[in-house]
Amino acid sequence: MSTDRPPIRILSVDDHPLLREGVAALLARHPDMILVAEASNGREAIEQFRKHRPDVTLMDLQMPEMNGVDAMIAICGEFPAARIIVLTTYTGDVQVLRALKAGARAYLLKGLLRKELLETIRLVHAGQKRILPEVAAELAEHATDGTLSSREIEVLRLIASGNANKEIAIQLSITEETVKGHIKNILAKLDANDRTHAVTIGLKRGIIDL
Amino acid sequence: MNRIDDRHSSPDRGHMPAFWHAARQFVFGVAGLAVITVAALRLNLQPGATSLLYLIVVVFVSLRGAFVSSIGVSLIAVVGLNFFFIPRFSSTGDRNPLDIVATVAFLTTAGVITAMVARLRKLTEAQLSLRFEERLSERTRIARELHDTLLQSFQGLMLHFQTVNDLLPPGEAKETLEKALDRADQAIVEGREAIQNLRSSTTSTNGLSEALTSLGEELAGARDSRADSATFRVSMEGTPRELHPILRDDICRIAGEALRNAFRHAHANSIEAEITYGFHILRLRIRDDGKGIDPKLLQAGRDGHWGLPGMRERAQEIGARLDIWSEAGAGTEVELSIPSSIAYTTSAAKIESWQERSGG
Repeated sequence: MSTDRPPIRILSVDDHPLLREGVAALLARHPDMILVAEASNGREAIEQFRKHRPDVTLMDLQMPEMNGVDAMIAICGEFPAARIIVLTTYTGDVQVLRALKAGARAYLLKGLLRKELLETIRLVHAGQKRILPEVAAELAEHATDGTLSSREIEVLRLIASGNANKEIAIQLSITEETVKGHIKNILAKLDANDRTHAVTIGLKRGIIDL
Repeated sequence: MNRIDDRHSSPDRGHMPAFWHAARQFVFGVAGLAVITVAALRLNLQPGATSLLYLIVVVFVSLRGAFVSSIGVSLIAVVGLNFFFIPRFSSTGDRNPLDIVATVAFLTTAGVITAMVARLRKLTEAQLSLRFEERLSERTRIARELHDTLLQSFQGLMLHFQTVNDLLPPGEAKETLEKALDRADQAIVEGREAIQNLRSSTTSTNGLSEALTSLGEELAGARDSRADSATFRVSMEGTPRELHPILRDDICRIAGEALRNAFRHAHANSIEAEITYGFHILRLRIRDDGKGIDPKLLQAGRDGHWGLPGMRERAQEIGARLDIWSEAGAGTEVELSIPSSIAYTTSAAKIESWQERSGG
């Protein structure tokens, strides 16, 4: 690493102070990187980005007020060259796709941060994209699966909150028959045996949140 | 296996609509009154003693959960007392004004008892349903809290440790720390999975037969390698009703234990699970044709063996009844019955309102 090059300027976005501290401690040990700002939600992230124009942004997905995906969409809309790395606990393929479509250049799991973070920051700064093999495998596994329509996602979310068909029908102002039709499609698309299984798959693939 | 087959083919009383249940209890009650009347005439009982016996019939009918029938039976009892018994004992044939007082007293007592039984029943159900709700919200809260705070903090701490690791010169200390960190990574992954399981156990209702099917298939799959795997079948009677997720979870755990016993210890050829969504009870039977459980063990329920004490405890906690029949060489049948009032009323509508309140 040549020392005459300016360090990579980094913005760290996460709502958990301990995680931000950990990232700061790790980055402080490496002279080719410098942490220029921190943010604890999507809104702050947009502000800090405008102010500091970091080279690389580390972005958590689930945050209060504004989540990471919305923040990325806003930032990339304003600064198409923004280089954002997603840091998250979730591996679900749907979640990954959502993040990549929103403009993420890399998708890192928090469990692998300590080994992969520095390398990923350098690669993304150099203009590359990075998807870890674990995440790529997840993406590949479901690449040919039918995607759920927004209505089906809504139905799945209501199932996950413990609603019966009748209650789902009332809440969405549709007939119970239609609900049953949606559920049948959901089960087929997710390759699920039953409603509980569908919810488990939905959570795992990041179609619905906890 | 005759005994079990008989039970299986006996007409099921589970699907009786409410009207027939009431009518049946009414007929039982009237029959009870008739028997007492005959006995009273034979024994020459006083009207007072007879009326007490009548009251017992009323209490019995109301205990069976048929309150309309219980009121009907008490009316008939009053008519019988006034127009049959009391005239027989009045020497003059004149009507004593006290008879009216006695009649009112009888009806009041019958009414109060019926109302008390009904109220007690409601209270017990409300308490159980509250306990389900508490457990559900507690479980959800624990899962969320663990995920949002503990897990994230650990991940932050891991970065700190990694920084320390980077500071260390190559050598034994660095290697040891590196190994410890790898183990910690694994522990975090396991923790996350456990939290996710905790959370998904609270998410959806129903699906009892699906849950049992997949559980049974899993167990059957685990035995496949030994080539003597038992056949497994799940059957369902009645229209499936929504169950409270906590209740379903507990039922699945009890059933899981019974199925594990059947698959692992019974050396059975066939294992069956039968779910009946009945009018009175939700019933689950798990049957195998294996070697049976030693009756001594069944009675003593030796600690930790076959998980019997655990199953009993769990059943008691959800207001269910657990019966186990077994004979050496004749297989085992485990029956879990939950009164419909507990099984069905604490379901989705309440969960939904709870979730709206808690913003979940």
